[in-house]
Amino acid sequence: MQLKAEKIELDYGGDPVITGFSLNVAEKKVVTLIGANGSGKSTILKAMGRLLKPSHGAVYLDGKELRSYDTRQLACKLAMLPQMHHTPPELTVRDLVAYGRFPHRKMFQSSRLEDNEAIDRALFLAGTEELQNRRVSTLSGGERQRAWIALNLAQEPKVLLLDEPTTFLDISHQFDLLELVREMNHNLGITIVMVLHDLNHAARYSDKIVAVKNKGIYCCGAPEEVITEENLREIFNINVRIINEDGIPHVIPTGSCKKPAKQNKGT
Amino acid sequence: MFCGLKNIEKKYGRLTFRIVVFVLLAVFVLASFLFSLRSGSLKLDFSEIINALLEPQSVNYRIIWLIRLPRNLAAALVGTSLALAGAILQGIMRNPLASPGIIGVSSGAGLAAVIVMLLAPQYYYLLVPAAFLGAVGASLLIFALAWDRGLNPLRLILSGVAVSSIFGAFISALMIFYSDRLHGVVEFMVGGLNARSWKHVNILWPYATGGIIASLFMSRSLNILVLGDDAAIGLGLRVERTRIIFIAISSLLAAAAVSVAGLLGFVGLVAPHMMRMIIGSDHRLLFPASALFGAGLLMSCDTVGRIVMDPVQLPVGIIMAILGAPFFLYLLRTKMRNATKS
Repeated sequence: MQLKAEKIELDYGGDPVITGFSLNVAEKKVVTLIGANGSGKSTILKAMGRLLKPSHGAVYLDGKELRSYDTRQLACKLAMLPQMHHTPPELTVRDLVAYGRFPHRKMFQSSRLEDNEAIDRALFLAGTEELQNRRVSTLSGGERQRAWIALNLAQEPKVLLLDEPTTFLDISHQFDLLELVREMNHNLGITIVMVLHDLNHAARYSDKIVAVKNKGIYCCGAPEEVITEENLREIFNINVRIINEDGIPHVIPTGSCKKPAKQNKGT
Repeated sequence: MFCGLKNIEKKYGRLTFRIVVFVLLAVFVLASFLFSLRSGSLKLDFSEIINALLEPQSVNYRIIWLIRLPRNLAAALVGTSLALAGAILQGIMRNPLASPGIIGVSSGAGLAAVIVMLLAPQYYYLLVPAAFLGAVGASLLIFALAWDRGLNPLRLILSGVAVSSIFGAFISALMIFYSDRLHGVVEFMVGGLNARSWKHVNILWPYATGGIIASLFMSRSLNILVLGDDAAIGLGLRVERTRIIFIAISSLLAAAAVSVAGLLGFVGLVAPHMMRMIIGSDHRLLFPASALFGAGLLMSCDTVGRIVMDPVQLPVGIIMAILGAPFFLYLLRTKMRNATKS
């Protein structure tokens, strides 16, 4: 399942936020979008998940335009974890995960054996088996996020879009979650496109990083190609040192460089 | 009572708990129905009621068949419709304070009813259809004002408040100009079922049954919608279409109910809310529970209104507020205490 954006332009009813953006997400890869606040990376993810209709260009899944899919059929292939979601508090984790089967069931069909199996599998894979009878209101932030990932897994998608999945989580839960994302990619072959804020997470867990700036792609490629001192100065206006740990670039930020780069050269 | 129910859930599991809740609701509806048939200026026991129905010539037959039974059924249908409309709207708006008043049905029906009763009393027989049209018209106006590439719940609520206050101003103005003719108007504003007959039952039941069936079929979609628009789209739900269908169902339900019984706002707010506290917000259960509870609540409150100051009849809207609100507050407090405990 290949996800492809072709020259898309995106807006929220005003000036375009993104123009001429093209991206090819190869099958079974992990692609991460990075960029400053307001750069439009979440907007791009919305367009790839058909939450936002491009004013120009189109997004294709498997060569077929997203808009020409029946939205339910599309939901069986493409799942997404939005940044904002609402969980009714007295729902149990299992109830929540069961909602992931919604696109697979016909209007009046009750739950089938294969739905229950998919729910069990999703609960197990996301490490939420023990939580399944707990009410969502009693979960910690990390557990809740895992429960939502389990919902996405119950959807049995080929492509999963994650919008800042680690926000509000402490550092150990951030890593738990990213390890889970990696497992889904390695073991289930799910293609992942996500937005991350932490550059070190992006470098460690992505096959490809796309840096977004000035309404389009600033640069894109393997982590070591994108995570460089010059690029990060341009993208985020920060001074950094990059060190290499297990062949993965690590960012050590040393400060802001809000002034134009030329004046900064001497200091 | 509430804590007792929750203990059943802890001890015997969720399925048993749900069965117990629905059995209790069914008992409540049946008990309210029978209680209402028996009570009134003339108290009848069950054998007398059955005998009365077998003898179409008797006085008791007329009391039961032509007065109490239709009024009782009208109460049940009005309660069901308003409770269901409220349950739908609270889900759609993701707002526990939503009630049929929010989409303008009360103010629209109220204005139309006031116009008929005060300006054109010779057309009094048009009261029900006029109120229905007023209710539907007001909600259409509010949707049109809130529409901008889709129905945003917050914009809908705010347009509803604005339109309702304009209509409310017209209602007040008319009431001041025609203060000598207010008797029927006040009962309509409070909500009452005095002298409702089979004619009214026949207006109500198609909407009520249609609304129940449609909302039950679509309850799963509302569960998905509650997760948030983005998540719902991701799960393959046609969010806009679902929202429009549900709002249409709820405004028709509420319009039918309000045009027959007057502005009984409270049931639509409180019945679904109470059921949500007890049975949770899975709409597959919440819809039927709210519908049953609304029916029982309105029947029993109407009966209390008939007998408590006999021979004077208190409008059901007053009884509902006096009895319902404290019970609602009690549930709210126990619920909050339980929530802080766990």
